[in-house]
Amino acid sequence: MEPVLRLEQAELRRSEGFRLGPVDLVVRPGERVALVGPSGAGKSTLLSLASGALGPDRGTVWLDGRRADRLGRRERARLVGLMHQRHDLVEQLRVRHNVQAGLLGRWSSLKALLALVGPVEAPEARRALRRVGLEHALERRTSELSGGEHQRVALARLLVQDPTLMLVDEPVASLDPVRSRELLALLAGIAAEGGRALLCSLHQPELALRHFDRIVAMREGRIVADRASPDVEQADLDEVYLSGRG
Amino acid sequence: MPAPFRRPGGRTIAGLLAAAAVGVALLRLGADAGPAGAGGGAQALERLVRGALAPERSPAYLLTVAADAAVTAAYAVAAMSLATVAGLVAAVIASGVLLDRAWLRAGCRIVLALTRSAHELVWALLFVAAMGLSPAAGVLAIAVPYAGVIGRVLGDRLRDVDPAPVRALAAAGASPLSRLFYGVVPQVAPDALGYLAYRLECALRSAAVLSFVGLGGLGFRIELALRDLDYARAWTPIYATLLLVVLVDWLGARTRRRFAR
Repeated sequence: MEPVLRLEQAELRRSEGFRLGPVDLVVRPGERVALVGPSGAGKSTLLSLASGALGPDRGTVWLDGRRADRLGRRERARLVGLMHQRHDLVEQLRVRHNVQAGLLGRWSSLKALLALVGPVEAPEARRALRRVGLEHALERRTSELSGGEHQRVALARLLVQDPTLMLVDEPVASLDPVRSRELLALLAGIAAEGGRALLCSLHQPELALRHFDRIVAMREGRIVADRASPDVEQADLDEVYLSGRG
Repeated sequence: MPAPFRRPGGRTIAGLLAAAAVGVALLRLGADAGPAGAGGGAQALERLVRGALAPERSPAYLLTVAADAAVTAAYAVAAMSLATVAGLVAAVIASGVLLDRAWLRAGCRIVLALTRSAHELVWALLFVAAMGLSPAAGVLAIAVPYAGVIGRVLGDRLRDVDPAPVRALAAAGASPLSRLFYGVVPQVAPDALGYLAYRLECALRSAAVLSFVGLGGLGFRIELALRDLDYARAWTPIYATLLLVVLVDWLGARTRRRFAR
């Protein structure tokens, strides 16, 4: 089966001197992969590369067997969706609009405008919000929600977009341990239900081991380990986090 | 124990210099206005105040002034409608939110600056010279420089928008136009509406002043009364202008609150 994502010797050099790569990574359909590593390791950059938001300076990014830079906007939206840690949502809009934004890759601009200003049925948004437990928040202003609720709305948007590969950047960095476990369980569940692949960056190795099938460890812009969860030992994780720059 | 002496810092010195400059300017103004302040000036002032306290209130005149107010309001609304549409288009181009090309943005900003370079009275003289004394001339005279201001201010606001949510929309596959509707406009809408309401208020004042040029309206009525030195009749349209401005200000505040909710 064609891998959903393949990074082939991908490299990216940022202006501040930061350098990612070269990295090789394969994610297969339905896999749940955690990306772990200390701050500054390049997890967010790798996810941006995988989403097509950034193009690699060298190497290639393949999505579902096709080159990412050759994909049109709509095709790419069907294949991959990216959820950030914060600031994904438009605070001034209602929750319904933010969730429906997941359909913008499929809607014409006119339909998008009508959905924004006119009274419109939003069955997909309603379903997605119900799945994340926020159906009552459909008409509320996004700015009124808590941090955890923001994350779940962003997840609902991803659900509505329904991509084959879900990329999630540090979803629980600002949540308490209980909320973190709940959100990750929700994330893993949603991925499994739709047979979607999941690549998620995390700070906390314990959470990675608990909710994901495979752990990819990064440090200083390179991938240093790539193993199935049962094969990972605490010593490996300690090495990734404790040696090198703090 | 004597208190330690602190040397005045740079800010204090600058403040003192500024106060001294203002003081000198005021003194000079007082000196120049001296001859005008005495005698004739005081009489005119007294008549002005009496007119303010007892404006002409006959039903016929009130009706006339109401009609003038409607004309002035019509000019203002017509001019603002044109200016808002043109200004918004210019703002989108100048900010580059849909299409970001340096030459396009720079060219647009130059055009906007040119429209702003002349006061609406100057534009009125130009348009009246070109198309005669017609309502269109008055409307365009306000619309053109206002489009320039609206385009510049809203363009800056569009550019200052938080890019993160817009990038997230792009990641979800949104077209540039959809990104504008969902990501950019909601961020600027409340402030933009408040600003447009304020501009409407300004347009009312501009329309009132422009009617001095002979286009009918409150300013024309004021000028007619002043020509006859009839201050009582002059103050009625002035109060009407005040009422219009207060009304628009109140409406603007209400609209802003509704959108911010």
